[in-house]
Amino acid sequence: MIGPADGAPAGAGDRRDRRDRGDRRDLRWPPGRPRILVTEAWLANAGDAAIAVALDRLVRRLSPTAAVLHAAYQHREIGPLVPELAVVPPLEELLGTPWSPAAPELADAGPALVEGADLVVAQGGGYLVEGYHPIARLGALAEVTRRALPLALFGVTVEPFRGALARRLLREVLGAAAVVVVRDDASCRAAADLGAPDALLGTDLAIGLFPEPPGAVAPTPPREGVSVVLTDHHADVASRPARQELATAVLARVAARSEDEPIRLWSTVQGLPEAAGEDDEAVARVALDELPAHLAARVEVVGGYLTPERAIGVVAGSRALVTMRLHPALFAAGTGTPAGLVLGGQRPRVLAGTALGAWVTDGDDLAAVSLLVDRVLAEPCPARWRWEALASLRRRLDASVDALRQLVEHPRAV
Amino acid sequence: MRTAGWIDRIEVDEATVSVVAVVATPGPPVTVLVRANGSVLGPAVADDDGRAWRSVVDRSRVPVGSVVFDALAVGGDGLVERLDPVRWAVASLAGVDRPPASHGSAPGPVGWVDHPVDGAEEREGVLEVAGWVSPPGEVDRIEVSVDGGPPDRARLLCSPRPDLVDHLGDAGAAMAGFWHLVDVAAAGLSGEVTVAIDAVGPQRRVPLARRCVRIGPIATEASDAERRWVAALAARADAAAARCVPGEGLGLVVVTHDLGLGGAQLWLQEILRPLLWQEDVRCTVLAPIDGPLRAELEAAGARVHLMGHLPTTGAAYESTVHELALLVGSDEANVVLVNTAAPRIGVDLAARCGLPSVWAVHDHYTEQAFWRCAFGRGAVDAHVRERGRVALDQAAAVCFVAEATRAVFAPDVDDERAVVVDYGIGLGALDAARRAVDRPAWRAAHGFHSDDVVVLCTGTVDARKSQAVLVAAFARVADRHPTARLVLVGAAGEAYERGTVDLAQALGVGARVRVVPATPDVTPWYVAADAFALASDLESLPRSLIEAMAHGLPLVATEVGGVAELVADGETGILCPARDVAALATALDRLLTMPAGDRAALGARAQAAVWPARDVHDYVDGVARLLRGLAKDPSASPRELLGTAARPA
Repeated sequence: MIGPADGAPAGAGDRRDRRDRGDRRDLRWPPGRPRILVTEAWLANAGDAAIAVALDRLVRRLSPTAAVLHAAYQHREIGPLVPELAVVPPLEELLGTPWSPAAPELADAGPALVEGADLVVAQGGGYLVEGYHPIARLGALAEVTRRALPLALFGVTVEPFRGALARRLLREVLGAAAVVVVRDDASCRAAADLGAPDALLGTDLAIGLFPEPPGAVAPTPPREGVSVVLTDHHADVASRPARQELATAVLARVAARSEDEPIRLWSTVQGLPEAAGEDDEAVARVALDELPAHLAARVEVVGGYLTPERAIGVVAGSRALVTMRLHPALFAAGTGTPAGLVLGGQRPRVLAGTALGAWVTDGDDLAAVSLLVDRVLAEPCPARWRWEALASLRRRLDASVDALRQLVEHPRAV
Repeated sequence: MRTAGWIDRIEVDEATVSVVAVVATPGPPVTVLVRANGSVLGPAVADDDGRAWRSVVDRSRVPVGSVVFDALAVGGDGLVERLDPVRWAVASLAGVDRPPASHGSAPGPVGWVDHPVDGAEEREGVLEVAGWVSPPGEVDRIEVSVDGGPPDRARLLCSPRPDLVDHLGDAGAAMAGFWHLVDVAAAGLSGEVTVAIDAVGPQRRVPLARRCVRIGPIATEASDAERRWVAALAARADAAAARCVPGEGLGLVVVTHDLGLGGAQLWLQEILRPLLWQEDVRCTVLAPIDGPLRAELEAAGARVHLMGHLPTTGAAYESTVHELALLVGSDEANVVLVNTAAPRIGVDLAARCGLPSVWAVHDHYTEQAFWRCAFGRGAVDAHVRERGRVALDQAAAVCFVAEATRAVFAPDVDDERAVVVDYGIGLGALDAARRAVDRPAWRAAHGFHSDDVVVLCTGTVDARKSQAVLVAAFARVADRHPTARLVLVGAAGEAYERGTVDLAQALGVGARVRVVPATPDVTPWYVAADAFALASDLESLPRSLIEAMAHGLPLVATEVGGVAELVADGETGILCPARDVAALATALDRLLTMPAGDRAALGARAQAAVWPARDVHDYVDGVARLLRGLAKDPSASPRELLGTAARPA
């Protein structure tokens, strides 16, 4: 099980130590072996950042002498905010691909850095979605395999792909990867369709940030009000206006049914509109503008980028959560916070097979959304059973960690 | 071999020899051929109950001395069985010039025509001629003439006849079968016709049979219940097809006949390889059965769906359309590429889904010949035939690789939709692969001497490619060219291949003919070769010919399909008629007799003719323009998309 670094509370790493671990402006490996290059984190999404933190801790637990670098998107903007992670430019910038040429200043140093790795771990998340056009990412991962570097995909969602080029690259990557761990069973099927029938069923690594029940290690903070995470995010850009309408409806329902409680509007993706390409804070403000003044008066927008640590803190400080993004729901389960998830597509399948699966609706039916909000608001807090409900996912995580352990201990044996 | 009967008695008088054979097998034979010392004396006549068959021949045709008499019984299924022989002393008669018994046989081939049988009615739009003739060394060609018209040449040495080998005492009879198909409509035949089949050898012409056949209308029998059932299935398929909504980008569905390593499959690979590198391309390949190409296509990003054997009944056909329509709908496909004539269901599928289709026809068959060759006698019902005929009208573009093939389809495909895109191969890759081969080392490793003249033939070892004819032709010139070796690359373990090997042994060139399994990497063989031979009797424009020319090999080729569009006789190769052992032997002899310098010059001119004119880039670009253009605007003119003017039919 992944735990907080050095036994500290979740998210509270030794910042001074971590800050010294690597210089982000020159591309060099910090001391230590094996050298593990973790890729694919989209740090502008605090959910992805949480996965990166969890994976970082996991690797260091498996191999205390390891040197770990995160080749991450938004490394310049977010890296300083999450000092636990030693970050470098994303893999596609380091290696360059036909779809994203390397920056001239990285032309030599980038590939050298990557080739210096003993193991490349493509961390999980939901980026292998056709609508995101992840060709450059896949091209870079394919380049890793062509350089005969051991590669592990760890905790990813793989959606069905139809585009030939993406399928070609995915087949190449999945076929050459030493380990493929997906985070839901639908991804197993998609991976099999792409020539990887032996993908392991794992889970989202973020749940590894919560190895102990809420309150077991540190006292839970006082809880007040309801958190609401809104987004118009959708792989199909054309669907975003509809998602905005849904977000407005979700907020209105929460506001209408939460009586006099304060409402905090925030998201794991906000505060970096240019770097992230989206900003849920804007969505929140549009939704807020639609509320009647007497309801809007109870709503506070928590603006700016929230680190994983802060996002988890916001959830843990709320007595309930209604979210349109996945990771806040995982944070809620880990902190025993009643939560409902309004999200379609494959991502909610992370919760399939757990009791939390009953607290999900895809948003297509507003009546179902209203019912879900009512159930969440009516649930007593804290809800320790929610942490316990993750038991099956923790077991899957442990099984996949065993696979990773072998790679970390003997990376070049692959 | 089972005992089928025996020679019952022999009666010799001053003028004739009469041989009576008794046939003991169940079911009367079609005929009995009586032989003396292995040489056929002539057909016998049955008595009333069909058991005793008498052959009466002039005594001058029978050897003298101790003669072995036997007989071959030809069954209704075409199989031949031998009747037990007897040895008989035939005395010499003064004044009669007879061959001695040790001489064995009279000269000239012997054979039999299994199809058509006399008085038969043909109702499939084709007149099929099939039989056997032996020995192969004494046959140049088989001529088939209908109602006294100009003769066609039958495909010879094309079907294994192991049933003949023991009976004829000739290992070469393993490939004694011949075959020919006459498209009734194309030949303008109707009513009663007479078919004459002759074997033509170096010494003489031997009439094999004269048959009277009635040409009837194409059979369309189906019960009302069957028709209603097929109509219901069609309605269901149409409903599924109507739900298909084209997507963005290039949503390509490919329907192909095969996922093996043949030329048409490699054509598909060449087309798809660059297309699949484009980010907006989705591609699903539908094929009847699995093959080695599947892995490559999947690795290239295509989805491959195996749909089972192409349907031959209306119900199976409509069920398949239904299944595939669902698949096309889920893909948001917007254009369909159909590869070869056989999977024409793909054209129908596209039309019913409201999508344009590009139909790549490499096959040189006429319409009715196609059905017989692709599916066999009586295998396809009227509904499937009708849908196949309609497909010719439905394709948005019919894409040919040779003008000659376009001309074959001209009656059925209007000029606006029929386009010829000059076929090309990856010349750059070929050159790179060629440079990577160490010719002396390869030849040494494969047992060739430096002074051997290696004649190469690539392509699936198959009756259509006529490698057996090539072997027979090679055998005729082998003594004159003792350093010549023949290499056939493309074996797939079929009966035709085994028969070809047996034939080479029987003709005494087994040690000089090598049959090599089909391989995706033929380049080393081209590099190792000194010359190339194409013996095919049915082609559009064979890929192997372009490859050989690109490698600068001097070549001999049969003048079929579009071959003459690529090879100028005497300039860039030597052409000869197909289905003629003697003609091919003459052409081979001409090539092998050339001084090495002249052969090299011939090869160099061949190379210049295809380099760079036949590079794959232009070809792929043309097909891609068709696909993208039609995906964007299904009503677009194929000619305008290609920027070509109408060509004369």
